Amino acid sequence: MRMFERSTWGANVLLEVTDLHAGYSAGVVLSGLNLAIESQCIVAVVGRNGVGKTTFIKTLMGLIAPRRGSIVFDGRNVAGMSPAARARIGMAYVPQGRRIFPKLTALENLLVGVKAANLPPRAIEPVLEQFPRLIPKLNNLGASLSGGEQQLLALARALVLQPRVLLLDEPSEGIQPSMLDEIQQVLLQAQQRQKLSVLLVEQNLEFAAELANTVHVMDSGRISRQVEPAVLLGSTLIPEFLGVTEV
Amino acid sequence: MDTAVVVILSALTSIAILLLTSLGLAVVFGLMRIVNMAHGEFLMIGAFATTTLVRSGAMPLWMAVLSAAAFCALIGVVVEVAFIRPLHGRRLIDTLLATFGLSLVMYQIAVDIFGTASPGIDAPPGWLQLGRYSVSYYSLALPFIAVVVTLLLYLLFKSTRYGLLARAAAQDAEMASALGVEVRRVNLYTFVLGCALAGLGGALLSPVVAVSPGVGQSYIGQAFMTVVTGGPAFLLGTLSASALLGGVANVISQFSTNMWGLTGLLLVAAVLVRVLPRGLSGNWSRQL
Amino acid sequence: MATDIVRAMAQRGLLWPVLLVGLALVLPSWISNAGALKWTLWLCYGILALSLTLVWGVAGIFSFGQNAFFGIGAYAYAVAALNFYPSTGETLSALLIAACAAALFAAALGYVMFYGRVGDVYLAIVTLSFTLILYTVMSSTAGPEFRIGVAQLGGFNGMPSLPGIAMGGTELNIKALFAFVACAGAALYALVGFLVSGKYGEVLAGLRENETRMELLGYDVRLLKLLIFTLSAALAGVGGALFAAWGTFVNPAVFSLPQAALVAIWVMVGGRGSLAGAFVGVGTVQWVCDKADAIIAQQTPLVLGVILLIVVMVFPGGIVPTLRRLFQRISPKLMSRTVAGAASANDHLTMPAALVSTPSVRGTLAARDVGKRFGGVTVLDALSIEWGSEPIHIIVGPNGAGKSTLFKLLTGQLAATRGSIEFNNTAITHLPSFERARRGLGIKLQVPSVFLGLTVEQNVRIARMAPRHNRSAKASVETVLAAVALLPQRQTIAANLSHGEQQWLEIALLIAQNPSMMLFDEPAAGMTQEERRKTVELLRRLSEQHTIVVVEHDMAFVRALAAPIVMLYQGGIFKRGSFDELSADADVRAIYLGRKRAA
Repeated sequence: MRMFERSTWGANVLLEVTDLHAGYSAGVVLSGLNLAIESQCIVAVVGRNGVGKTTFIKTLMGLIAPRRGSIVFDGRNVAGMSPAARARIGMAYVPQGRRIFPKLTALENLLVGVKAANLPPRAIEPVLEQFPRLIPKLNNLGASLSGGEQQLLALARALVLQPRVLLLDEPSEGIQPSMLDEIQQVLLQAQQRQKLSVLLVEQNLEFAAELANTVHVMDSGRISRQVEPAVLLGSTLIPEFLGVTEV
Repeated sequence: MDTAVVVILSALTSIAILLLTSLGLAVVFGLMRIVNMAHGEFLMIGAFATTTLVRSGAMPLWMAVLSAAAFCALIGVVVEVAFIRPLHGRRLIDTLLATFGLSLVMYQIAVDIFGTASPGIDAPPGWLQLGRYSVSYYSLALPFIAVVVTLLLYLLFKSTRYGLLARAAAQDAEMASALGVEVRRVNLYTFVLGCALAGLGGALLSPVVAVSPGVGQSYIGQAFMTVVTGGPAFLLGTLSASALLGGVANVISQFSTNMWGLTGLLLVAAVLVRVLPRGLSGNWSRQL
Repeated sequence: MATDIVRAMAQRGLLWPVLLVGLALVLPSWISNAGALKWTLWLCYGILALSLTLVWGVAGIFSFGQNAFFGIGAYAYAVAALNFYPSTGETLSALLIAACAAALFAAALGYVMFYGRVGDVYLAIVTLSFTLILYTVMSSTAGPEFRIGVAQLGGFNGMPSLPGIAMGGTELNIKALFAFVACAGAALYALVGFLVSGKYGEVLAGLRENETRMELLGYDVRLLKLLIFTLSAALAGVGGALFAAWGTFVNPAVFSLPQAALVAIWVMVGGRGSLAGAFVGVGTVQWVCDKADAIIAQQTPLVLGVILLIVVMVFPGGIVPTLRRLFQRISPKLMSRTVAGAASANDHLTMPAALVSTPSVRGTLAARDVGKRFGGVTVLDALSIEWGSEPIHIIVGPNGAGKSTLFKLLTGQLAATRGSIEFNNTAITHLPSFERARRGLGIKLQVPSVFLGLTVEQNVRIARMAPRHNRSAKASVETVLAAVALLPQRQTIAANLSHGEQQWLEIALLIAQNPSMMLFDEPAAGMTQEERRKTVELLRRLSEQHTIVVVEHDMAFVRALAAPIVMLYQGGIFKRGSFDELSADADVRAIYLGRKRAA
């Protein structure tokens, strides 16, 4: 019955998460998370610190093993696959804190995924065109780039894999406001050009609102509701996120 | 004048030997954070393989050296799959102790096969006459071979697919795997490379030292010290540490005895560890 | 009655020594000379294994150097005995010299390693290299020029014909030597047992469990490690001297690789944590080797290698502890030390009237023009803040604002790239964490940093014992635990506490330190609503006597604390004010919620 339901409305669904449970040590856990991402959509998941957003995105990428539940990407359950296998079938990950390889040059950072996938080095060229700011820095070590440049590089590093879904964990964290616009533009451009789906986990409500087609609010390890992006810019959610309504 | 030249040449040979016996250890430790205690036995196997092949008349020295390295690589595959991989995620001390156990087993097997002493092989003939002194061509060739090996390794890590993936996996294995890198396979290659390098080192050493089952153990202490004092840049760091420690030890030994040379090596290493706990390359931004 | 005495002795670690002494006095008349010789050797090895148990099992430092110190002890005994025995007629002084020589080498090596702060794997490598290089060095002392007094070092062949243990001009015979070594072993065992059971034992356990926390409590971890390393080397040295006296010879084989492996194998087989395990391990392994030798002659390294592989791959906890667990599963009644359950009554966080004694002065802390760069990224830029004018100060800011970096600069976990930090009007910019703690800085980390393997009570005792510069009064363990409502769980192992309880236990450690200032990094992280509420109450209470600085992300928590706030953004100060002022400020709201155009 359930299977049937999914296949009828899921024709357009690229990534579907059902009843996902995961967690490590004490603290952050996912408990019964459900979410569907349609192809070529930007979906934002917002929520306060500590509700499990990063655990969610790491579980999607296979960096944390789920305890229960399914992750169906493009019709296949990927829940048991290694991160590398998920990368090969079109899932790309931009982690919180960017995690640029500090002792590789910017160019080498881009080439890691390309070489792992046995693509020719020139595969990075079309992506690099969208990141003019990175071009003069290509031979600099990752560690020497500024925070904003590292974020752009992390994005580019994921995009060169020609993914079908991009998993973005807090791309706005610690970034200069001027850079945020650039990151937003690059992201929108790439999404349109490469026909990407994007899952964006964010605390920055405006950043999320301006990018996302749909917004889900996460609370205690599950999605509590879906809201219109415009709602994030209004005032109803803000007290909740500032914590003014509790304690 | 002749004396000075000979002292320098002899020091260069010592440095080359230290470098050749340390590189495999440095690669495995630098990229996988694994202390391969069986490294000395891989040296020993490389040396025995070479002497056996050469003495049987099967092949010339250079071919025997390469075959010995390949043989060690094969053993490395087995060791990685059987002992290193299952211990992934355990404390570093556990892989260290497991490879230690392995080294004892390999040592005893070598004793059972070859006995405690064995006839060696001759170095390729030829001497360079320097006034009162004569220096064999082979010991002159060792520094060149060491430099070539280091350069080839540098190129391997700088400009091949494996090299890039191995460096990425060493810096952030989780991130590398999320970019599609099969970290387990890369680690297998790295470990095997380390074993092959150890085999190569032992093979190159075999014409100039007494080959015995214990030969690896007499080099491994210095090799460990070299890797520790070399620090995180596992190629150039190890090269610098070999130059420093090997140079000091050799020059002191030439003017006194081997014992004081080693003591000097130990003291220099101790001072370095105290002053630069992260090694000579601790503050370098390079990885190689 | 008799069983009570046995149990009491067992608790003090005296059971085995007394048994050993008994054995030493009774056995010689029963066993053959060959048996006495074998048992004496095993006891020498047992002392060596005991020294590794002390340094690795108890203090958590893995050293491959123990057999180096054993060898140094043996050589020192040989040299001293050959030189002095003819004139003094005794070799007990040589025994003492052996212990001192081993300790001296260990102190030098340990100084380099611990004050250089080399990591644990490096430590294993350095100690092993030290051992192996000694092997090569001692092997190359064959020439006649290598003599100390009348003693020839003898190179690879070593030093033969050493005097045995001798008193009053006569050497002990084989059985008397056995009795002597057994008594020495018993005495050393008792010494180590005393060390690990009392308050020193708790400090050592703290060192093993959580070095960072020890440092933040004010312990000089480097010095403690050096002391224990040196002491264990002295033990090994005595073992080596007795070994030399037993065999009346010593050669460089004591420094060999198989010998280094052997020590680790004994201890791993016996179980790292158990002192008796050291002797049990020696007995088991040597017995297996002897038996194996009878079947396949002279394959000892092979047998040892296989044992080591099996222990590491299959029984990583050691064979004796694994068997013990198995035994306990079969007869659960014998599980004397059952850990109290994790379910605990923490529903009332009662605050006793007199919480802790008043510190002599309410602390002040100031960051002046402080900056921090990581590679190309400037995380903090010329920041100046003073704390101490109010009971509680709060630092907030969005992710990536530089809060955690600032915290680490204040605690000494990171070094500032510019500027200075002053605590109670003295510069502490370059002081290590433990010095800051001794001056009265209490530090609570974000992820609870306690001694997970120890009981709640032991945790607090370690904190109370921590060295401090001012001798202000200390609250009792009971008062401290009552303050965080953990008194009912005082016997619980910290690992079995809930996340929130671990957070409070860490706060209890701070209270026990009685600092003039307490720094909290996100104390509410991972807490439930209820736990958060109680933590607010606790912090308010503590602020009556201590200055408190809280770095926090959780705005609900910040609001409840109702204290002046400094808001960081992009590595600098963005706004100061009360919660209401800040939350009413359009720019702050925008930044905190990520309105990018606000700045």
